[in-house]
Amino acid sequence: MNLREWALPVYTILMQLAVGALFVLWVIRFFAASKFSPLEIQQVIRNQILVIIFTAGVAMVGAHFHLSKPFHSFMAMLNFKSSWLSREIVFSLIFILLMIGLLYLTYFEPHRRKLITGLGWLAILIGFVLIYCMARIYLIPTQVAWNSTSVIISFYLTALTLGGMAIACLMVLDLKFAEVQKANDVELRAEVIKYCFAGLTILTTVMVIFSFVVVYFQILLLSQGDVIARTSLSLLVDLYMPLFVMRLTFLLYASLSLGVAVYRMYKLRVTPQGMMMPVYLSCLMILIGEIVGRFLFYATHIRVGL
Amino acid sequence: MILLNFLYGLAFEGLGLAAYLQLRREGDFPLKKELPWLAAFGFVGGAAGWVDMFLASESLVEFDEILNILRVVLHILTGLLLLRFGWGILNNLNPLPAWSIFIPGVLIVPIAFVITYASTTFITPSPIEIPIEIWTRYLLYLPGSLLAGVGFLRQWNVQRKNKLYDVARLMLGAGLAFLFEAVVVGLIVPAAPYGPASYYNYDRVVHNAFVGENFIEPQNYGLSSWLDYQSVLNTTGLPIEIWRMFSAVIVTFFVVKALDVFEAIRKRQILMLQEERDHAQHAAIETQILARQTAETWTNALINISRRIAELDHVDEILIYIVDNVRQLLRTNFVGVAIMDQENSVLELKCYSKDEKTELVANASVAVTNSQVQSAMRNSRSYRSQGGESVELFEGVCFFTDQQARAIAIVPLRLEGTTIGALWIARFEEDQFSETDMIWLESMADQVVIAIQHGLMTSQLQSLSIVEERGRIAREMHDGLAQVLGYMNLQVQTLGSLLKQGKSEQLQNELKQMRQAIQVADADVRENILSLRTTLAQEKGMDAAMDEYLTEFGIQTGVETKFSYLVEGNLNLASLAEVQLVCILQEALTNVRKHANASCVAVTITKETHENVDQIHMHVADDGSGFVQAIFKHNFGLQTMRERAESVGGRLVVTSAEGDGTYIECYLPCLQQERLQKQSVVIH
Repeated sequence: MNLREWALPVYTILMQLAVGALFVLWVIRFFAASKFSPLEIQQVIRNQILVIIFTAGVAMVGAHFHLSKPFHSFMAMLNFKSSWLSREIVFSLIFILLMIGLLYLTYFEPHRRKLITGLGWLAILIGFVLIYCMARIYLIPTQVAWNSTSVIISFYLTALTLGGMAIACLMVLDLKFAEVQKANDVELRAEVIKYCFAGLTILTTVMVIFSFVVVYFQILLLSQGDVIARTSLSLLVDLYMPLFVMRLTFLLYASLSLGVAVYRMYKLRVTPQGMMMPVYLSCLMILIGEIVGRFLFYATHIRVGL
Repeated sequence: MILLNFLYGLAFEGLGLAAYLQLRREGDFPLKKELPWLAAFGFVGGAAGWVDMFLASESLVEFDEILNILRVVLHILTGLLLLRFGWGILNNLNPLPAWSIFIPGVLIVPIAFVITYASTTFITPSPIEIPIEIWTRYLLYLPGSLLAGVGFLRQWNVQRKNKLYDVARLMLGAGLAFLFEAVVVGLIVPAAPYGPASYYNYDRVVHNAFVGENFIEPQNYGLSSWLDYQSVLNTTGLPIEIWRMFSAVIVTFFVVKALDVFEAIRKRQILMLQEERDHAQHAAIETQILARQTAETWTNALINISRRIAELDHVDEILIYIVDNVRQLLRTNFVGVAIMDQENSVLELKCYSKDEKTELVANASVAVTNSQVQSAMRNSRSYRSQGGESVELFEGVCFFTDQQARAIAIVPLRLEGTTIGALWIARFEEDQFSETDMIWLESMADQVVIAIQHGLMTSQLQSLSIVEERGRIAREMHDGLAQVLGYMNLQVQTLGSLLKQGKSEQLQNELKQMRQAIQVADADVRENILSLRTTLAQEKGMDAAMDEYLTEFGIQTGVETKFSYLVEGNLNLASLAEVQLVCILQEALTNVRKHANASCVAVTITKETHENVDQIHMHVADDGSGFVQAIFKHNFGLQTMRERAESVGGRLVVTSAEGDGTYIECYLPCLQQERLQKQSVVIH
């Protein structure tokens, strides 16, 4: 991959991260409603919505570096009826617009809770459709390594893994910021972290385990495939073996270290403020693992025919 | 190249050594916490340079493999140490702003992509040393140098604000030196087949073997073609090692200079601290002196007030004295004392002080209706304004002035559990009274109450004295004038009978006796008048009053009198003691006139010291017939004199023998005034 080709992992990874983060955020919001007041929850999560929009924006801008004529990118939307790529771009834009609306409501009209809730779930739905379109682009018969439902599953797994970790990381950063600012909601933020970190850790660990399972089935599928498929597999386990091992190691280590940190928080009464470094490093390692995985996804495909 | 590598290593070792030597110095200066990292960075970086030297010299070919591994390890370690030093300089010297917490969050995605990209470059066919060196420089040297550079530039800004311009210049130099190092050490890397290093130069210079495999036309990304060793050599004519050595030297120069200046600043700060300490000590001493003077002033004022009370000065005069002292000592614009009227219904202003003037309110009743004063009275609790109160609260506090109080303090006057009035002070400016002021004001209020209490007691005492004096006059009239008049009545009847009987010779004798009796009565009456006048007329001075009395006594009785007043100034006796002294003298002279049959009486007044106590000694001596003391031991007149002396702490000694005259010695103690005056500081 040359530098221009890196625009593709940038776009797919960041967009999946944005959708996954919104989904995780809304699930937390849903369950936390029983323990905290809606306005308190709104106050804690609105910065995260801002970061999600920023991430999706960077993804969209990054995608343009892949194009030969970036200023003609809007024309990609014209083939909505026939092209998954066109649908991907349209749903990306809808997702971003819905997020902007959500941001406006949470900051300026927080009392319209039902509208905010509905809009959030709608944005998540659009996001999931967007990920589906993103994955369907790669399901083409000439690309044997890609042409399987495991691609769709792995994209969703990436979204949920990265989303969970991103929200965890944003929460501890937000808490640290509130603490430095001597804000009056430090205790509230710490309480929310204590409330949802166990769930986030379980989510991340389960997603990592599923990723391992999907990788296993991908390897199995390739090993049982034709020459092209086996060539792709040989690239994975030969040339790119160090990166492949690195990916699995990073994912495993990150989920384990996150689990240990969260255990220390609950059992050894480590304050949520003390979670910043382990959560940040776990998030970084999982992000690297997923990016390496996306690199391997692009690097191991071999096209059949011309 | 060997020499270059040697000098490069030497420059870094010099940096490490300088930092280490600074580290061993005593004291605490801003960079000290980060010096271990800088020293370690210098030593390890120098070692890496010297390993390069050995590799370039090819003198240890058989150890090339080990040297290459060592080189890689040392470079990575150097980069890590530089990164740690840079972070310390940036963050630890001056904490970063709160928003910087989000920087890691923002950078997490780029960092993840760069690390991933770096990982992918290790699987290219080029030798592994190249990506290791490139990513060591990109991921460790570059951010480390940038952090240190930005950290020093922040210090430059801080020191400029502190007006330490010499330090600021060196911080600027160090910051720019590290930024320069970021370019030459962190950004310029060996040519490599991946961005941002130059594809072009990699193909041309380093590893042609890679060209054959899927060769792509070289692409240049921005400045990438300028950021490899060959390009630097082509462009500047100097190899990168020269530039790196240069950067190491200037970094060493500025950091070492900066450390020296920090040391100088530390010494300057110690001197400043010493001066501040001296100033603080001086200020503390001055404060102590001032506090002592204040305490002495207050103590003297309280002692003077107590003395006046003990001397039974008039309560009005004592009040004026207290109020005047309060105004001056507490630097107030107005002082007021108010007492409840006899019906206990209206609080009336009794005395006030303002504009250097203190006077009683004698002519008209001035009611004090201010709510704060009333509240303090009602609750029997002191009040002190804190500032910011409504101006209306202070209305009706300052009398006989148009100005409005801005700060007040009120203390209730309590006598035997009952609030009888209030003492308050006011200022026209927003200068609130302190807790200490309140303590002084409360002690003055106590003095006011004591003065009033003493005034009441004196009044009662005077009433008793008047009753006693009336009794004495009645007794004198009964013993003298009434008996004479009774005798005269009988004699007149006798004279009438003798006249009817025509006994002219007996009539003449009776008339002669009557004349003598009238003369005795006349002498008694005149003496009593003289005694009363002398007792009540002390305002002219004791010595003058006694002298006048003795002169009158001599004229009335024909007894020669001698008066010697051998005391400088006044007698310094309590008012009551002075009264008793005059009464004793009068009693003694009465005895002389009535019983002694003396031709001369001498009175001498002296001051003596007995057992460290000053006392007045009055000596009354006559040349009369005297008396036998055993017979007159319980004489009523002598007993009265003795009791009078003892009632004011004195004593009376009477010495007499038949035919040798009588000597009466009276000793009365003085007040402790002289000793007190030595201690006092004159308030006015």
